Amino acid sequence: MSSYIQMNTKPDEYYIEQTLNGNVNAFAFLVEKYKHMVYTLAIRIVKNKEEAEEVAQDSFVKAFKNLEKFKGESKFSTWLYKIAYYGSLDVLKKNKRFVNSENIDDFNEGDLGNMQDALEYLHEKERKKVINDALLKLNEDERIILTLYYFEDLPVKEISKVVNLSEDNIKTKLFRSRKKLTTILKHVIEPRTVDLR
Amino acid sequence: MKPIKNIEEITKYIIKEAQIESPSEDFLDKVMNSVKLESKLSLTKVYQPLISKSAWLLMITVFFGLSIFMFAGNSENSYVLSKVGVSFFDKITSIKVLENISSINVFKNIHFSSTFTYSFIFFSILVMLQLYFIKNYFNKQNSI
Repeated sequence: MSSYIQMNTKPDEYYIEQTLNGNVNAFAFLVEKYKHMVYTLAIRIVKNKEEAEEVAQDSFVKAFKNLEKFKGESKFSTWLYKIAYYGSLDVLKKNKRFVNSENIDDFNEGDLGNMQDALEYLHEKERKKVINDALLKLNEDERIILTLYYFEDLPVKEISKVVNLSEDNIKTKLFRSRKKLTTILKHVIEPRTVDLR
Repeated sequence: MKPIKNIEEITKYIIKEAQIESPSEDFLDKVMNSVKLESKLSLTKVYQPLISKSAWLLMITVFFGLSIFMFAGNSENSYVLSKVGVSFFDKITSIKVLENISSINVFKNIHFSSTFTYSFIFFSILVMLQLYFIKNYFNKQNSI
């Protein structure tokens, strides 16, 4: 851990104010707090460690440069994730790397218990890889919406600000991507776990 | 772990299991180095407008001064000039050297109709307004 982080936990606004008042080191707390999520969002879009790291760094530097323009109308994290989301999409656009996502098959909710069992059988590392591979088969915005909603527990209202879509649109996308993800996982897991049962 | 019943729960379970990724060890230091460099740059590069406030004031004064002068000079009721008080100009022209110069009026054959004068002033104001809106528009576009 770096020497920057020696402060107590205070609300983001405190560190933003400190930074704006010229205490640049206060910004380190915000970097430390959000670096994992910003990097995760970036890597889930650009799918490349080096590029994701660069996008994440640029996002923080851009946030610092524009901190004066942050009016506090949304949460700082929402604002930051938005910078990271659009920064990542820019990299994709530059490299023209958009992946066609999978089609949705019919999904039977009765299979849910089996899927959980199958996932539990896998070793932690393998489980993470299987899930991440499945996630990468979704669209960029679906991956981000799922991550923000289920991992970060961000309300739909805040997510709509990050990806610039209406709340209803987010709810529809959540519904569709849930189905898509579970369907993709079902196809991946079931052949793997045949021998285990 | 208790068995999962609905798709909502299993998605939450899946996403939590996917975990979040960690950037490299020296990520914070890299960001802070860039941030510090950025703050140093912003300190040395203080924003200075191309046209300073005093220059704007001078331009506006000259512009309106000329407008009033043209208006007053062209209209039949030249009492505006006498009210403004141009005794200062009278004093200048009374100086002998200047007398010769002042008798040469290169603009005497140039006449602006009042329609032209009014439309010129009106369009100048519109151009300035337009500049203001365009500047604001681009400022908004550039900000995130």
